[in-house]
Amino acid sequence: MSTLLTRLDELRDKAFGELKNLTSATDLEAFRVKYLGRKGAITGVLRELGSIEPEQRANVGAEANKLKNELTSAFEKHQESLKSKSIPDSKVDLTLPGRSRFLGKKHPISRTIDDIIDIFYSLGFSVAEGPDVETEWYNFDALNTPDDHPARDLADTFYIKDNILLRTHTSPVQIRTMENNKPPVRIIAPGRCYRKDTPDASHAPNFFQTEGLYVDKDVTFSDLKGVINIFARRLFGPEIKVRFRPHFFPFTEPSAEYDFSCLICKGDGCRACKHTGWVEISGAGMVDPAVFEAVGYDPEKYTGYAFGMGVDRITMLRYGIADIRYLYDNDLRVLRGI
Amino acid sequence: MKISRNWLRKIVPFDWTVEELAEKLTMSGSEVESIEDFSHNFENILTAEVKNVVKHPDADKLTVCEVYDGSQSYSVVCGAPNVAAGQKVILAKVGAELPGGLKIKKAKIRGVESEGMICSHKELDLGEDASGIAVLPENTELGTPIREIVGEEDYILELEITPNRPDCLSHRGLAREVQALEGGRLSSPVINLTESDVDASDEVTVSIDNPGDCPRYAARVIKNVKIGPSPLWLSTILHRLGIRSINNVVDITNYVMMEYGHPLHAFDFDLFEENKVVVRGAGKGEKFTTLDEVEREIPEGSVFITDGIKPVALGGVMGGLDSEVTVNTRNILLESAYFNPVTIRKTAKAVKLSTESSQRFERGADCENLNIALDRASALIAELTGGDIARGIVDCYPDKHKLVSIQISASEVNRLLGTELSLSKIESILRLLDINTKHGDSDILTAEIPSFRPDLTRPADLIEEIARIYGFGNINSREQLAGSTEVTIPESFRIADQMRSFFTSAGFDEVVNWVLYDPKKYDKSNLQFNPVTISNPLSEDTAILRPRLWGSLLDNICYNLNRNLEDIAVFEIGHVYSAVESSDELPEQRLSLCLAWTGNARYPGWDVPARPVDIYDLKGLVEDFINEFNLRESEFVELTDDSQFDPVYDKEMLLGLNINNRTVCRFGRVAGNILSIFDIKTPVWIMELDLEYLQAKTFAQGYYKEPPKFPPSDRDLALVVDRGLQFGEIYNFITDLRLPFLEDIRLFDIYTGKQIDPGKKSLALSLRFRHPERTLKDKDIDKVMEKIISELKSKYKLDLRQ
Repeated sequence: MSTLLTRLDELRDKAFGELKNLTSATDLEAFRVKYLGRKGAITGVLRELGSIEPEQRANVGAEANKLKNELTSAFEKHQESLKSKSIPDSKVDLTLPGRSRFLGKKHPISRTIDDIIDIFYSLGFSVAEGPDVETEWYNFDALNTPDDHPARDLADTFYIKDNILLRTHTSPVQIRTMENNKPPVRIIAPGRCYRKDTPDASHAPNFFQTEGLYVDKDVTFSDLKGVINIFARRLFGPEIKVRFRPHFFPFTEPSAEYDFSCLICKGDGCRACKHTGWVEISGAGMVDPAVFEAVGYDPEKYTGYAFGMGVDRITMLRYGIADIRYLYDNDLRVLRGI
Repeated sequence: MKISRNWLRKIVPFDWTVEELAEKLTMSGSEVESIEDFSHNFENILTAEVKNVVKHPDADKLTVCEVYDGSQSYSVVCGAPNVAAGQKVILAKVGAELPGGLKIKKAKIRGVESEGMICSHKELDLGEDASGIAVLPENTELGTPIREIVGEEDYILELEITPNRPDCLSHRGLAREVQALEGGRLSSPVINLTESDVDASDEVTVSIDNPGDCPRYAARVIKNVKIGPSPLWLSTILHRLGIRSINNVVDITNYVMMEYGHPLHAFDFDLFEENKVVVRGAGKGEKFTTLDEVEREIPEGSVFITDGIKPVALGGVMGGLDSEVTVNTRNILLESAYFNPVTIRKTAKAVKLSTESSQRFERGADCENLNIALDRASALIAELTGGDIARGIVDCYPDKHKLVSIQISASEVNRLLGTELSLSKIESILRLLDINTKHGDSDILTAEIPSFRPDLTRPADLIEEIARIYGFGNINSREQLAGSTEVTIPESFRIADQMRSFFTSAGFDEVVNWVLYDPKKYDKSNLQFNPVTISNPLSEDTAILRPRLWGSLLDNICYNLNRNLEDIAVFEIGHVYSAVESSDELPEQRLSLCLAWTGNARYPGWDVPARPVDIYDLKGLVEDFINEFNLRESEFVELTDDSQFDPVYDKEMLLGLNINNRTVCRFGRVAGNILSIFDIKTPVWIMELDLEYLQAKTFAQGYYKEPPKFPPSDRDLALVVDRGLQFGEIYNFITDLRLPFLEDIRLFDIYTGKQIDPGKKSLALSLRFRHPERTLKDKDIDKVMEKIISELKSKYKLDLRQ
């Protein structure tokens, strides 16, 4: 009896040893016949059961069946693994494409907004929001832009009905935030804006902006420059330069437009920056006292800065997109490459 | 607004290059958008007179002219239809080069020698007119080199002037900016005004019925003018500034407007029915024909300048056709008035007429100094037309403009700017802007605001002036952040962010589309919508705010299919809008997510077969979604009731997900009639998710569960059941038996085919058993399996498949 068990052990070692090295279909078939076939080695052992003590037969038989099962399953597994390799040799073909999980990508505008939020959140700015469809009060009047003011011509407005319009900027969120909160307030408000501009390379009738507002005691123009400088460096790297030019907005005084040095030519002048070396980002300034009065803040006590930023413009700068319309074409050949 | 570098330099000296000038103006708030170079040497080009014109012997349309430049005569072949003997013209002699590059050589034209060329304005880039040769005024001196008249070098700067700075819509205003930027001092032109013995007040009277809308009206009368073409210096500068030359009188009014910024208007005074000016408000429904020959209905309350009988001008906007200065005009009335900015703005907006004049008045002209512009223009008109200026200005100015003074301290300035400017620095900046200041021993300075700066009314306005002249670039950038407040982020942003991560990981590309959408696409779909409609859309196909997202996504699918992409999986997160009944409420705006999927769910690879998307891909995605966000209390439902059914989908291929009995998600195959609107010919699957609802319902969080200690045992079971029987029924039936140790039921195959009855299908289940405290024995499981099988058999007449 011990001889049969020993033979089974030997068979086990031998068979598993050989199986590892088999690569061709012929070798596999030969292996199957040799060990697992009707006239194979394991069946051979079972045939000999009659020759041993009846009380030991069950034990040996079970061992033999166990080996047969294990070997069969190992054999099938090995066979399967050979089948799935369509290359005959086992060396990895580095040049074969891997099996992709086909992940999707976030839209460049979302990525820019995400990064803007991350930067300002880390600087202590909360995120605020307001409706796209607004009242004239929030979009214009409370922002020191009464109906008879020429500044209303700065942006052509889409109207839904009298007094209800599509917001032309994210600045209404300033008003909504200040109405509902006492100073200090420090927010950014990313969102969609609408202007009746015929689409061209740099205009779309709907686009994205991010508003910024910080009101507290002793907030200065110097702080405004600081926060925009930090933002520019965090988003575009330490080489970026920022300049502020005086401008006019009814809701800030002093008002500025700010430009970033052109990322393409590094400020030397190229087509993208119209040979000025600068790319206009948006407007900023110190909150006009009239705006504070509209929301019930005391301009003697508080000062504040506000800024906007053109999300589309920044996205175009980051990814080298020449035409704002490309952002909204949603051409997957483009989006998957960015 | 265009300015000439040369003209500017005549008013204020500076030695900057034109680029430096542009940079300084830009950095102080007058942004230079472009610089146009008008430099040309004009060598061998001079004024001359056509002495004689004869027909060319061999060409019908040519003439041979004798042209005299004051010292010599030249024979010039000319093709212009308007050439005539006695004209003062511009002659380009042999050796001249025109701005376009044409070199003038001695040449034979059809056999006749030509010693030069008589030029048009266009050929010399001194005007737009190319219809014939330039004809100069009769009193033009002969032999004057053109470069002495128009200069060899000039640059035109185009500036963007912000609406608060009407003063900068003029050369003098910008010269004042140059002065403040530490150029030289501003100088004023010498006005040589010679008045006749006739009193203007005997010629005309002025009265104002509506001084609120027209606070001041001043006029001069100039008699015996001779209307003609403008001299070359005048027509050239206007041309360069983008203003068409009309005649000497009109050109002077424009010239002085470009100089002082004050719009003037000249009337043919002989066309007045009475010798008076009556300014009044327009009545209801009055009509008036303006200079551009358009009859307009004038809004009530607009300013009419009348001659006592009929309107002669739409005040501050445009003159009338019936009193226009023409070649026949002999006597003119020259108006210099001040109008209420709001009135002018309303009128200009209503009649859709934005003129050089209305733009200046609606921003605010200089009420106090308007007679300087009047004198300047009168003197120039008299000089050019030989007219006689009647004595005095007829000036109606009932309520004198009150000058503003503003008090400000250095600490107030520094508090807002973060600077450390001294009071004397502040004072010197303001004085460079021609703002007078005074302060005694106190720290408080009183600034007297000149009438040309209507934008300065409050300390903040003055601080802006100080900051921009001091230079924004000179203000420090303070990068320490002051004390923090609690920082929050709205749930809508958080959920959108989570969705973006989930769906991109699941293989969907994010798209961002316009909110402005085409109502026709939704109309054709026969769905019930209550869209938010724009009353003044850019175009018909952008007239509504999208009521749902799927339209945009089907547009994206179509766009990409047309570019040979086949497997497209995209999603968008955005607001959808619907109108509300109440007129004072804003429309409803809901955050929504939609995905669209076409082509293969599993993309083909070198060893992976492709498989097209079907409903179970979507269901699997939703299941993953439920799992990812721990959406308890959710159940899949069929949306077949008419109340729930959504005709965007195929009725047979639509499922929903309910949370707390509310359908928050629908998914399925897009109906064929919808696809045809978008011209899509392959099946498209979409899923819509109401994020507005989900964000309000905070996602449940998961909790720790101890992993099992003992190994499971699996048993397989193949049931042959009626084809119509749903898997869920078997699943629920087995689950409801509440059997011991049964942990999970997994479906691993559904078989229909030859081996079984055609009305049947085989469901292959793998059942997993586990005991929490010990390893299960076969006999434990056998007992349970027996129970399952017998219960199944008694409930459903089914067979087991071996």
